[in-house]
Amino acid sequence: MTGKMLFLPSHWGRGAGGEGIPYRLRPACLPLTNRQTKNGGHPVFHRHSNSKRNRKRLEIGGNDRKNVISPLFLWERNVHLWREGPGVRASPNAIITLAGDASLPARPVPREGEVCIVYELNQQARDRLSALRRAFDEASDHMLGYPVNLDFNYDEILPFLNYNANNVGDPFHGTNYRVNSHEFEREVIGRFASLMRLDPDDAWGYVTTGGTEGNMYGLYMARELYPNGVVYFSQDTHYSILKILRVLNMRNIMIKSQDNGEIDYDDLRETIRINRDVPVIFMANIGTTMKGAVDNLRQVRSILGDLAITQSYIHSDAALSGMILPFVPEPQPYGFDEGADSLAVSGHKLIGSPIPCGIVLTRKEYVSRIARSIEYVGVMDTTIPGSRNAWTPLMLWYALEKLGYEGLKGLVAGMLEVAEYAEARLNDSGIQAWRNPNSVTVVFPRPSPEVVSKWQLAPYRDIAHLITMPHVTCKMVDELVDDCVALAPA
Amino acid sequence: MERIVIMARDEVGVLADVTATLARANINLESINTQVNGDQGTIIISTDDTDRALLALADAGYSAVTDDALLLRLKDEPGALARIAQRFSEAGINIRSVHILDRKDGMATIALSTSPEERERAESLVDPAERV
Repeated sequence: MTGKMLFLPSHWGRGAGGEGIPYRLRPACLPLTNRQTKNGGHPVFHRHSNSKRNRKRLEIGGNDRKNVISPLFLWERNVHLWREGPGVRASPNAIITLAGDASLPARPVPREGEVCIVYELNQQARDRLSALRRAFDEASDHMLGYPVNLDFNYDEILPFLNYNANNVGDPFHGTNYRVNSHEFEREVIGRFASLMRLDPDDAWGYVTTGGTEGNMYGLYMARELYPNGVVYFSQDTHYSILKILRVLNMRNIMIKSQDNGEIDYDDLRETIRINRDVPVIFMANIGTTMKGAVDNLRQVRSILGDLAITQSYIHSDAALSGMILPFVPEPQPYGFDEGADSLAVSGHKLIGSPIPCGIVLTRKEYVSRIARSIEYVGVMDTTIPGSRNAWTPLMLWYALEKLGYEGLKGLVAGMLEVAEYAEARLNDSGIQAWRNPNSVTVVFPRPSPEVVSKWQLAPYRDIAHLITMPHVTCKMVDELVDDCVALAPA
Repeated sequence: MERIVIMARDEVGVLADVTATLARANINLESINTQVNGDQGTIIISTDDTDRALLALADAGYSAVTDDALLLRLKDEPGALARIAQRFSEAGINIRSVHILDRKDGMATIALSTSPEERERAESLVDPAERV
């Protein structure tokens, strides 16, 4: 590490953080360089760009205001800036201190006029970061096989990453940790509830780390309500469910799938018939991972009714299709109005996010029953993780607020159009492709390993799929098809 | 001795690939057996390190399980699984989990698990012709 001595005026940064709370500046998108000039022995940093973006600058070097430093520059070097607080008074040359080395005190209290050391990454480490970024860019240009939207922009809310914000606990309960976005999270839950056809007044939920946590919550709820229940799920169910069933130690039976990936209703009926004496917990796929198939909730409910099953629970894994079906003219049954008791949707998939996230939703009345059982262990937090990041709820709120219902509908219509194009284009080239109704997952025979690797396809046995997320263009589809033809396995 | 069951296609080179995979991971094979049903093959092995063998095989893309579970081959038709489940239910044995490992040519390979205490009784309920 390289040490540098800096003075900063204390007036910088006032009004940005809570009392005594350190904050960091947003990341720079521009390359910055530095050079030393004569300034009482202190280094002076110049930004090397004329971009209008990020005009805010810092002055350094005491009263010499000619010499400036970009806050972005400091951020890049992992410098912590401290605002006024205990030990930091508003006067010239007040403070800047540092971060990035475990050997330093966690929170040094600088004194007025103190000279501090800035710790920087060495060149080798910087080069590694640059290489990683290039690799990210290259991989993102060829992302066709995974259901994630790369087309997003959260610049406007990036400053919130400068806070140690935490949505600890239940968003519907209060917390003493005030740097949180619970209010926004509750709005997100309400909006998702409406899309999933649940009255927001009857809804409870929280922003999760992704589909797996949402599914775990749903099945956890089912287990609390029906401890001796058996979980039924189809062969095409995501592998994470097997992990969850293991963790929750729930009895489970896998049911056959039809060729299109939907559950085999005859097999489900016959298997439940044998176990009529135990509660049925049905794990529904609202869009399977490989084929985008939707288990028909109406048909499942009808089977439960025919067999006079009185105790049942349905959890829907609606990771991707949960954000498609609310916006199409003729959706398959998917929501709470069709019998779902809980439901998980991913946030990083259709909406897109730099951090994986999701939503779990259920009915308020169920959570109250779980809360009662949790009370026995002396904790009233009904979420699984406890500490949760405050940024992804804010990000989902921002995306929903910006796009609105019509924006999302347009996004989905565009995805379905490209899916239709991809299906036709593959078939026209002699590659047998198909997709389920209302699905953006186009299934085709597994191509050569070169194609799988280049386009980051997720093959399974004999098949592969491409998923026309919002960033996928017809041009990318054309290139993939050309590659499939040119590199066809012998 | 704990066995590992590998589901694989009956193709030239599969057995060589399985053994090479284990050799690369420096795992000793203690026994190996193969069965073929149609174009589906089942390779049953035992090794000196079951856990590492399972990881190596999974990394190489094989569907491999230990025989902690009862492995059955049933007719692939609605209710086939239910009939097995009924047998267990009538005998008062709780099935912990039932997973489908493979379906091919009208037959399905099933992994069924019970509690360890009930394992022996569960085995006695299964027709030898149904065992993998």
